[in-house]
Amino acid sequence: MSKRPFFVGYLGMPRALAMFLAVVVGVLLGTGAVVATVIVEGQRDWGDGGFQWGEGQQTRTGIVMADPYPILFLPPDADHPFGRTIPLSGVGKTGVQKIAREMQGKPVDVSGVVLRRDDFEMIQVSGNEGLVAAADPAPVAGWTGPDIETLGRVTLKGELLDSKCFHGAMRPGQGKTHKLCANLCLIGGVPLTFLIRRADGSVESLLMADPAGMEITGALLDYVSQAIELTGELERRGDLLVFKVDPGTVRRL
Amino acid sequence: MSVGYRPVLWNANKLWYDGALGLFVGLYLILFLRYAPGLLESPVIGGAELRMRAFGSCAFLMLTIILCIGPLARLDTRFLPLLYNRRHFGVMTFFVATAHLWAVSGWYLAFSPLDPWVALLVSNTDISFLGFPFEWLGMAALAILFTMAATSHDFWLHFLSPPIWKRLHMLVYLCYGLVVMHVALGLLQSETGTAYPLMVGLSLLAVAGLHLTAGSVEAKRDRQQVVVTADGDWIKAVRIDSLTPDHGHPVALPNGERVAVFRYGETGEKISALSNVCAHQNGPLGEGKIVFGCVTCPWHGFQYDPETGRSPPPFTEKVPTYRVRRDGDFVMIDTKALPAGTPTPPILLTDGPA
Repeated sequence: MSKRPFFVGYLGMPRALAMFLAVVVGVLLGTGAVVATVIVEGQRDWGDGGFQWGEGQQTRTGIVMADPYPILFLPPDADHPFGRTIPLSGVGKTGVQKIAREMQGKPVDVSGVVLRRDDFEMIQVSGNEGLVAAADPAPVAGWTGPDIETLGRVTLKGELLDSKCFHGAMRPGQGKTHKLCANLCLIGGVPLTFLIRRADGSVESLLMADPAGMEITGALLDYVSQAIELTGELERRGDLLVFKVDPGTVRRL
Repeated sequence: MSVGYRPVLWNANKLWYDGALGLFVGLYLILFLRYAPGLLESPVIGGAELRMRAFGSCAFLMLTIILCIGPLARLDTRFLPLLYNRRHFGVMTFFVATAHLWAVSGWYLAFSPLDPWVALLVSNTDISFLGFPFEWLGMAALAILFTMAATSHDFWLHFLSPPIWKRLHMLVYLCYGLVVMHVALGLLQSETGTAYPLMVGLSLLAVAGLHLTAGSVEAKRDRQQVVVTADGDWIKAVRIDSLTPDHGHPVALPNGERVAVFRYGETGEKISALSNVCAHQNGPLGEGKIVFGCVTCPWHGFQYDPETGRSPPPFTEKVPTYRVRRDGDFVMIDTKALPAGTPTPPILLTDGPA
């Protein structure tokens, strides 16, 4: 008892105590190293999506639709018999509804930076100059956009996302930690999508719409980034699936 | 101890302490941000998001360690030096937590027409349990950390008075609870692996387990104390031959208060009793020691004359004293505390056999 080292901060450190503390500091440093490594290693793989800055400004020519969210439809070609669909966003957490509505149904040239995740593509439109009437509408001559095919009423489980972050603007661009960012994107006008996972593990991104085919962001904002179930009409527009739902059918899982 | 205020009272031990702290934070962040991603086959997360997690997890780990220091020091006094400069640990934790907020606001809250602070508060209004805006919990925890960091200086301790200051700083437990919920309703909802819940679980286990163990040990020690008979307000507190010269001996009174009994003097011929509660930060004087003739608190080295409960001049701190007398082999203590700084004659063992 009487030989126990007694520490007084403004006096010298007893030698026996210094040795003990050196061990404690070593243990704490080691704990920090283990925790850092385990946390980094334990993270989910949030996909390899991202801005394709290396490709520079890209331009695509197609038909633009403003509702429910701005989408560029590219006509069918040999590799894409159903055509291609490219969601559009503005710079940052903004949409391009205003300019897309002005050009609704017309041939346009869309210029901007491509975001790509697996087979999904999106374009961040470079300001008002990034969405203009097509300089050469020949590639879409005689084509007014994809036919609409009704697939029936379905109930699906998945997660509501902002399409831009899902395509890789943020990684992770989904999940609860990203909910705040997702809501900001959606409030700004970025297209709202519903991510579903098939039994084989592959994913499908559905464009959301209300029963009338218009935007539905405000009604579903509280359910973004959560596992939910929705019921509605599914329709196909080219290679795009549009999920027209009544917000009253939403159910948290 | 100081008779004036300076921004930081450095000494060699504090410099070592802060150096080790800086090394801990620096190594953690470097490993997290620079080297740990290289251990993976492919990056799985963006750099900005990795910074959010690096600062956030570092602050959580630091808060866990801070809360473990107290009970560890109760269980083994060799941990007391970690408690000595814990305020710097807390201030550093606040800065790391602020860096976490900075990383989030610079990415998830950026690039929007909305002001980031407005966005933080209004973008998520889902108040269901699993959808709850966990960011609000983090902000509340950060506000507590800021309050504690801002009032950590001894000026605020004296200005607010030690009891109020202590209560204010006990908010660290609320802060820890908020952080746990911040993580549980945030990251644990996104990450599905076992590593994250395991880490949070280990943190909770360490904090709760150590506190329960330390509390249990102290309660057991209090129960084992000898209070043979009572004589009015006097209690038969402790055997004289069980007192180690120059070392404190805490005694629990029937009213729940604790008294620090000291045997001291050149030949250990004197015995006095003081309040167990240091006037500085309520440190346990009964676990202290006589240094340079004064009772010395084990937490920050504040000193008191054992016969008067007053700090040696020019310092002005004082603690309550207790009247003592001898009854055979026992020390008797009057359970009524005297006003702080009241001189009280010690038991003089030279008056008879111990």
